[in-house]
Amino acid sequence: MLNMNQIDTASSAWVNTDEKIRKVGDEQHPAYIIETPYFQYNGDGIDLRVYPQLDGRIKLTDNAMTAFELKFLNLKVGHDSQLDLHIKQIISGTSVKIGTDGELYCLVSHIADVSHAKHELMQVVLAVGGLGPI
Amino acid sequence: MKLVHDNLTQAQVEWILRVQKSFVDPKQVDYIFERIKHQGFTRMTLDADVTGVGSDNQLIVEFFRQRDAKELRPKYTISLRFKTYGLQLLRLDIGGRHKNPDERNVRTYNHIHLYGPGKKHDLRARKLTVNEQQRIGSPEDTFIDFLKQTNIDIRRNYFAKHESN
Repeated sequence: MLNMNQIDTASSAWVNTDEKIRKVGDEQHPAYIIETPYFQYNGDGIDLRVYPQLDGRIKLTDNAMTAFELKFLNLKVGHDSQLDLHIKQIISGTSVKIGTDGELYCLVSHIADVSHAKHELMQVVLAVGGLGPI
Repeated sequence: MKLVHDNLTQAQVEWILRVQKSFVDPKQVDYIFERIKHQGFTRMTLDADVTGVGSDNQLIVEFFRQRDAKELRPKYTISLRFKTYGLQLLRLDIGGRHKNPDERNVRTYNHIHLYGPGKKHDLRARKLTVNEQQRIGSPEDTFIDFLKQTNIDIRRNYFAKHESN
């Protein structure tokens, strides 16, 4: 039987081990990758990326990966009105936006808002990615 | 051959991959090669329809690359799937992370998803063999190799242009 100390250690180890944030890119093209502890339905890890914008804001994005994965479930973002409506409902009330190719992203003006934006984006990515049959 | 797409046998999957296939529109392929060859930092989704497995079973091959920063190791996906049903037959993930259901930790490694039995056909992936890993080169070379391994005929026109450059 697990005791609480084991559960605390296991859960913090999992979070500390499996989320990695790496700085990549060069001075001209800086970027960060967030390797999250979460997975697509096919076992592939979910990554988010962070890019600076020309207007000084920060963009957190799934790089349209969620929309790409939905194709394997025969769901095509932008070509299926019911799917698009579901996605619209999911992102409604959040700071997440959807691009023309299905990219899910947030734009942040202050560094202090990055954490919350990441949380919202992750929630949306998981919800949209879960729209297919399980 | 009558295929039940969400319940293919191992023999049927192997047959689909082995049978000679071709692109519906060769110009789509030329375009894909040119885009891959001259890719910059932009995100890319390129696909082309494939025929040869029966009129009810049109396939689609797709090259997907997320936007990459300059220093980043290559990360892209090449897949072959049923166009109408979406089901993946073969998928090569370069630079991706994966965890099989019976594994504890996710790992970053080049891996292949092959249509498998059961309800979730693309859940499992395997590491590339040494031979397969050695064939991984530039995204363009890897794409060409993927087409060869899945027996999708590449027009000779492309190679004539490619070799003259």
